[in-house]
Amino acid sequence: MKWQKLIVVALRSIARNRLRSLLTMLGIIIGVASVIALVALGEGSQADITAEIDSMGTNLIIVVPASADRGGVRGSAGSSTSLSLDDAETIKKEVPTVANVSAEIRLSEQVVAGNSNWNTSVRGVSETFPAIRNYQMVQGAFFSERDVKAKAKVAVLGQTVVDELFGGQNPVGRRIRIRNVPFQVIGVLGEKGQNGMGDDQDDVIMVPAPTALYRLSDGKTVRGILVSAATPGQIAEAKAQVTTVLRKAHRLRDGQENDFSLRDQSEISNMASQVTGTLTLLLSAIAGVSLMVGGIGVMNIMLVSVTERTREIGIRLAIGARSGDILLQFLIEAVILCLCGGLIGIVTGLGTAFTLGQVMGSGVVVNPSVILLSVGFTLAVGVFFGFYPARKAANLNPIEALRYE
Amino acid sequence: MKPIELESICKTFHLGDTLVKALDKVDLCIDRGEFVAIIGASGSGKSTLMNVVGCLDRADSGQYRLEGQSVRDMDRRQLADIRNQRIGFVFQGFNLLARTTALENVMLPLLYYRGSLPAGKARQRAVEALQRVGLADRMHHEPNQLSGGQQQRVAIARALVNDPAIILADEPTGNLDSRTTLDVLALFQELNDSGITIVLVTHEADVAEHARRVIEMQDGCIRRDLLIANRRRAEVTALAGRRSS
Ligand SMILES: Nc1ncnc2c1ncn2[C@@H]1O[C@H](COP(=O)(O)OP(=O)(O)OP(=O)(O)O)[C@@H](O)[C@H]1O
Ligand SMILES: [Mg+2]
Repeated sequence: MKWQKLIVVALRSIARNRLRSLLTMLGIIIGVASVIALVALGEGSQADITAEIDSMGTNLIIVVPASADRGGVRGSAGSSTSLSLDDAETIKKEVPTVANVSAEIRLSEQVVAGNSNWNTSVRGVSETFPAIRNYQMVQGAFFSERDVKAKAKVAVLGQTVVDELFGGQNPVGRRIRIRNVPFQVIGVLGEKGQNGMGDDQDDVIMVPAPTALYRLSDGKTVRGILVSAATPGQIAEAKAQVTTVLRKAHRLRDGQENDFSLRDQSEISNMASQVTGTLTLLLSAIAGVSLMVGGIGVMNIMLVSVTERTREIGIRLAIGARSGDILLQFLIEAVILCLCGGLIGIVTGLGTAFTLGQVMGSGVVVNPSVILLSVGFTLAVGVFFGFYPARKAANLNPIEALRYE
Repeated sequence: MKPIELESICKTFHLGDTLVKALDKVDLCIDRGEFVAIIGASGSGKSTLMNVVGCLDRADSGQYRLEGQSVRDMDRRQLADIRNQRIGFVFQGFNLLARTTALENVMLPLLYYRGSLPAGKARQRAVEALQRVGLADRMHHEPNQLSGGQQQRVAIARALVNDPAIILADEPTGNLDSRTTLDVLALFQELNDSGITIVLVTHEADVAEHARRVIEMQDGCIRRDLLIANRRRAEVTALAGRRSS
């Protein structure tokens, strides 16, 4: 008995009951479609996050106060003062493997320009910040080292701020007030859009770090120091050197814990992919369960089908079909049902993923191994859940089967 | 070597507490080329006998040799192959697959044929079998588009397609009117003339008169076994039309 013939027999009986076959497949379709869609979206957003982390700048190392890294209660003012502008200077001078260094101070302020005002994030950074974080300028220029040294009252605006305060018109040369301190606008940053958390990265004003620290803040709280290693190969070395230099600067004795901590990009992206990875795993488990339920649906229908076609089985046995032939016929039918469901599910899943990706503006990654895996899994579901009904059919007694009404 | 040899075949069914001896020490020999009619009251064991002879069922005890070969020690798979290649079955209820064309129904036994048979050859054999029963022009019709007589002829073509030496028919005319009955009987006689051994179960005396030998059963035993001196030939007039088509 040849395989092609059996497949033809199975296809014919599936085609004979189109609606029922489709409904039977539905469980499988939903299961596979959700696996495919979830994984495609999960991997897509993971790729988005990775790309975004890369766009944060090349060879980036972030130094933060130790308490800020411990989670729980976010560092109170007193505990997060372990970093200073001097630390940034020290790193710049004493670590040879470092290309650029910039302190970062973050404040949330009400900003006024003429009659308009807008609450936004004010960042105090060094002149090296655009180089470290890959920022472009669309109008004017970023402030210079001299501006930083002089605590100049100059500001560079993000596009959202330009829209809100100046109605989108060129603000270069105009004045704004932050905490009643007048600043002159000298440039506009290129648009960056939303980040992975949905925050608007263009809703920002950059001012020189000392200006922010001493004119707008308490003079103590430095949120972090951004360091870029000279080459990707030197990240580890740079981290070690930065640690040594800072320990010395902070006069920490041997055995005393660091009062700061360092993260590099690979750690940040690992953390991000761990989160999305766990999420993907969880969703896949749910999808797996729905595939299982789909498989039980197939078994149920196959059992009904065997009962319904008892007479047909009797006829086939009477004219010389071996039990093995009947077993294979029903097994192949179950497998084809599952496989068809799987294929429809893959197409539906990809369609859903791309549609949702469009709507949510997140990326979609089609992973061929996931597709192969779901095909394999549906095949296994077909064999597993098809076997019992098929064996039931194969073990029928021909006379009783023929007499069945 | 005789095609069918039964020696004290017994078959008992258990219905709750009661035992039904459907076959009680049946001895029977059928020669090559015979046309045997089996008659008897309802419940006398005719169908049970046919099932044993057709390897659809096993006897509880006794010896059954099919063309000299003992069937007793064969497994399910060997019995299936015998049903496929050496015996053709015709049933009272036709037992055709619904929503399947006459041609495909006739090709069904070839689907389970173990030897090598190219698809084109299989189709050709099925067409030939349909021609033999005079239904070549109906081969693409499905059972519900055919009359009872035509359906039974398709079933006979299906029994013929593997070129069996024996055809077993359990009340093949039970669902047919008298005119179509004659049609089918004429066909059986024709096949018998070409050398095929035929065993046919019937309730009707005038159907049995078309055989060469009549066996009467009663309570699982053979009560009478007689040869018919001058058997009736079925009217072939009913079939005249199909010859020309
Ligand atoms: N599967 C079975 N289970 C129990 N008893 C059975 C079974 N098959 C047949 N019998 C019994 O065996 C006896 C013979 O049955 P069988 O079908 O051979 O009779 P029959 O001569 O073909 O009758 P009919 O002319 O009505 O078809 C009957 O008494 C019947 O009740
Ligand atoms: Mg009967």
